Amino acid sequence: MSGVDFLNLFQGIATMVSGDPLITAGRIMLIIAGITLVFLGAKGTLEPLIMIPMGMGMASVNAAVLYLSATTTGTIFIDPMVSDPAKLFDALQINFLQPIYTFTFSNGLIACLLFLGIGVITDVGYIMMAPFKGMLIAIFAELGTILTFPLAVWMGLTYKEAASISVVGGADGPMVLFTSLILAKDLFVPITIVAYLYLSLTYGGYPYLIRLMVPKRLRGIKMDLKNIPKISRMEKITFSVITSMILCLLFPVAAPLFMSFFLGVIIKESGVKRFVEFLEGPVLYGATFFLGLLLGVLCEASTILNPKVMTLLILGIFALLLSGIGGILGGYVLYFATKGKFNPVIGIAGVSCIPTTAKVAQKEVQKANRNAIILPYALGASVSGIITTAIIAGIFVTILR
Amino acid sequence: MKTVALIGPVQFVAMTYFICIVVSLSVAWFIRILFSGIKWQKHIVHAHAIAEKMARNKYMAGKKD
Repeated sequence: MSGVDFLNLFQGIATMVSGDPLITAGRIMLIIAGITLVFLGAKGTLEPLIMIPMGMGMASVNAAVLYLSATTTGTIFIDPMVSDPAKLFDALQINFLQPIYTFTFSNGLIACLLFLGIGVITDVGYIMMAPFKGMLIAIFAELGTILTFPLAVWMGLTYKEAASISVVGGADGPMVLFTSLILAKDLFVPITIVAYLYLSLTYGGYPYLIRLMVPKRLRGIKMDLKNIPKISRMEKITFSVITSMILCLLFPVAAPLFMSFFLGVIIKESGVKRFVEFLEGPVLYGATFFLGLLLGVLCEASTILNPKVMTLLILGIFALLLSGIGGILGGYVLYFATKGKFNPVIGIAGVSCIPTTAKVAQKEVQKANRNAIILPYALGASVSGIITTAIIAGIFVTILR
Repeated sequence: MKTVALIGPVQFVAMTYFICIVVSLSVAWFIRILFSGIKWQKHIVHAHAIAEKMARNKYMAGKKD
């Protein structure tokens, strides 16, 4: 009994005691951060679908560091840095989340699965009823993406890293994941976490931006819902097929994302009930669950403690804030162009993040005027936001890859 | 990539934004064209139906006489 080495028995504690003090401090901080995310997610303050698995993964992986050999430490969750085929084969057999990481994350499949799910819950009819208005707002709402890029380069990031973090301004989680996986593989974990963390905060933060930028009188403007054209299923399918083909022709690198999104839309409009149920249920929620869990598990202190993380945190919030401001400015442009018939709050929905921003816009408008309904126009701007962000991501990936 | 490094971040991002604007507005314009085409087709079908009906009425009226 006296020969038992308790530190060797409880290796999570042993690796903390004997490891680098900075990493130990990081592990403790990340365990606390993970637990906080779980509770904030459960409470509904942050997006529970992502934050609960992410927080749990983050806390567990930092607690469960063990000795893999006499000199090296690690976990049996995942090894994101392994590239040698023989070692990868070992990792696939030992690390329980390695198969999901290797076969769905590192090739961008998870982003495509999310886009399939998003496509199935998206109605492109909203963009088709007022295409120029939606696109104009979405173009303005890319302000954050556009201004963050040069700022990131000036702050010392490479072009590829700058492009990856600036896509956060497009407020599209799968797009950030896809771009950073291709352009900045070393930083994709912190960039994606920053993106999802801030995206889950938009629901709480954007209402303040709306109230700050749009006076109550303008927030209550009613939109014309009587003259909305009726769009048939075949028209939506035709639009989806042709737009997908055009975008695939222009940006083949981002073709998997375009195809996934529009395939989801076409399946929905075709009314293939079994596929719709499959994509909007198991595929979308399954991908979201594993995305959250894997992002959390990838937050091991030794991986995440990168000096660039602070820069990414600043740039991420800057990108989303500027995109919100840009979107509302786009709303104002249309307000003046239509001589006061367009509600400028719709602009915030151009920041994509479908359907959160559209819901935020509707909620704020209804607080100012109970009878004002802007949701169809806001959803149109949101769908346009997905398209403009995909175009910018496509250009970044094509040129910088 | 080398060319991009030569033109600088501001010029690069300006070019990206310009391409994005052109492609996005082209998509919007394409939607308009699509709608106009569909509307035009509906008008033609409608006009054909009316013409057919009128011809039939005329034929029936002629038969009665």
